[in-house]
Amino acid sequence: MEKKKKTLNKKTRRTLTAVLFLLPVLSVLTVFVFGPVAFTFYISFFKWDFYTTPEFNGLGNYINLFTRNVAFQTALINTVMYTILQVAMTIGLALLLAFMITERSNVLRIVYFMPVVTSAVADGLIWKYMYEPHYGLFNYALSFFSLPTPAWLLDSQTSLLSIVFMDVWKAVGFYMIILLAGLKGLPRTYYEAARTDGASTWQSVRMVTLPLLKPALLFVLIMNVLGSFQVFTSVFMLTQGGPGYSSLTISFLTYKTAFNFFKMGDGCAMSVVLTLIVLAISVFQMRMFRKGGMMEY
Amino acid sequence: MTILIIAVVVVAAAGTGGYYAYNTYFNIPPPEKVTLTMWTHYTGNASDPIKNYIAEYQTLHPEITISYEAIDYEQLVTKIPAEFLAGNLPDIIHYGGTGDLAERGVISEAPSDIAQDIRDNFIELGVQGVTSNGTIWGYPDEAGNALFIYNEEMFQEAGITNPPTTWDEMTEDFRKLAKLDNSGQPIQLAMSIPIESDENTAMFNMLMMADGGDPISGTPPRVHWDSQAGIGAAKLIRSWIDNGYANPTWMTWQEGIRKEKIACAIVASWFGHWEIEVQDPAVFAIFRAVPIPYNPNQVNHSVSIGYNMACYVTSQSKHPRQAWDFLKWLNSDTIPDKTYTRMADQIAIGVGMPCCHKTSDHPLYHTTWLEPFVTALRTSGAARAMPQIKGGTEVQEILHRSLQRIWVENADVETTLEQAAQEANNILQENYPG
Repeated sequence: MEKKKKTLNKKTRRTLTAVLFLLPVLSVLTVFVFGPVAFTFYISFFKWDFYTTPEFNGLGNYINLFTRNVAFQTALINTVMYTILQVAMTIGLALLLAFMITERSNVLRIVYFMPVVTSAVADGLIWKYMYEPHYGLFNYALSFFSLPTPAWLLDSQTSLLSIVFMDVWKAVGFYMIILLAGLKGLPRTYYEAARTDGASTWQSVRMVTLPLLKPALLFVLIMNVLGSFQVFTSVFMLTQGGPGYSSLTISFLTYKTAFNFFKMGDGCAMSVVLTLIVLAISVFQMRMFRKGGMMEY
Repeated sequence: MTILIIAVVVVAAAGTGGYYAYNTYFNIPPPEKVTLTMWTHYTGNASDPIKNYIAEYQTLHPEITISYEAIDYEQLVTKIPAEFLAGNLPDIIHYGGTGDLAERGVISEAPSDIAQDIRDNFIELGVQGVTSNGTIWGYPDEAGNALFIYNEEMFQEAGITNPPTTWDEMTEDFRKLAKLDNSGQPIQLAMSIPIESDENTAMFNMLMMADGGDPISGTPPRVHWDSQAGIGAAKLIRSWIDNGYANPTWMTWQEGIRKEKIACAIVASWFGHWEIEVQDPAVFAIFRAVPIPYNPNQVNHSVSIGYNMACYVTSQSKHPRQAWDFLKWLNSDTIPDKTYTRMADQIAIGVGMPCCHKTSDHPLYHTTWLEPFVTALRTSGAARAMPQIKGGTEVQEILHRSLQRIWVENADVETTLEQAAQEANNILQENYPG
């Protein structure tokens, strides 16, 4: 009985010690993360202009988003389109670059990684100049080869694509490094076995490399999708969501609604909807990629 | 010597005793020490005049200390509501948007003597800009309005001797100015269309007024973009694009004006200074400003939209009377031996224009560039402020994006303006039921 009491005390002590160590981090997280998230969810059920007392509105803000708010509906479609294009191009290019520079020097890795560490605002300013229809670098290069010169940011057809190009350039280095690390960690024995069985390079990639790389690919996919749905800086710097609503995204519209139009309730509702969408997609992705990796192989 | 010292001590004691006896008898308290805080967006060297004037005021009123803080205008947009919630607003803010601030209880009404001073000594546009629901809320100071600007050399090359005054003349001049190459691509355009900035909605609103319309009016306020005048103005601008006189996607309009590829624009006074003169003084020297051409079938004079910033006393000020007295001294009282006010001197740095009548002799306002703007600003009926309404920012955003769709996506004018007006009026209905 006394021995059992001593064991309980030891367990309780360990738990208390763990809680004490976690307390500072949990406090910070509560104040700066969990608290604001909970407050956002709470305010999404109110009409609030920042200045006056919040007025309860039930699900009114959410209903308004999907029935009357044309800007939100357009932004949702744009954000999905942006995510599909950006993720496909970034991961595809990152994988290709990872394959190409596996055995190459570190210089190339640095070159491709540099856009990741540059300031997003500075990037936006420079790319805006490069996209200038008449004097920009891109159209100058295109006209040199007698190719059509689009208006890029000033044309509804190309504004969203222009943002995608810049963001792919900015992100590809980061994901390339992750996939490169994944590739480096694959054991050579599988490739030797595949070669012995007469597999071609493409067959090796398809049947050995990609399945073994699933965990890294899943990580890259989730991170990229999460980031894409929250795209803001490039929209802010390049197009402000225009022309019209052609490049308007949810994050940018949320910012405008909350901090320019002072409709905090509507802005919070948009944030909650975005969070739920991203959560659903992440869960779906994790289920899709549950199998795979070396353990499974 | 001893007698002299004794005499001085006796006189000093008598004076001090007399002073306190007098105050005690008449119950006059010593002057209260007051600290006023003021936020403006004049940063860096641009704040030198106002800082000097603050120092001067403190010398004249030793019981008052004014703490000045310069905050970038974009930061003020979010800082004001945050500090309002926290109860930390300064005594004075220099800002724009009377309607929003007044409706939300951020600022205080001007006392009756101050309101009378503003009515008596400030231009019509300025008074309109600080009036909401019939009440005056601040001292209007920095104003701006827009006119039709044109490149004189390009006009001469095209054989145009006088700038246009009516829409028909303007269309005819544009026909002469626009040049296309063999493949139909522009070499030179007549008119700029600023699709990226607020100038887009300002241009539309001014042309709508030049067509006899009123973009926002009524009690409760409603937009009328889908009226005959609004559709007429939008179709006029659309015709420029269709006929090759303007092209919003050819190059950004600032580049076009600076590089003398675009001949004309409808822009505010400060644009000339910051976007043209500072970037290229030689190009700036050949630009002139004239009243905006109007549709003579609908109106008989040109109208420009003006806007102004103002100095407000916040609702959280603990010393509102002292704050208003300081603002009167700064905005309405002239500098001794001069015929303009201290605020006029401050505004001159940013090439804005003061709203006070007592500024006619400031040297800045007699330049070739600014004089037409000043004349239009001060001519009754020639410059009007847009109504100060709650939700104005969101309403203008709807118009801005709808106009972009018309210019760039070739969206149908009537349908797009009708949808935009409906959406905007839904918002105004929420803010102003009735």
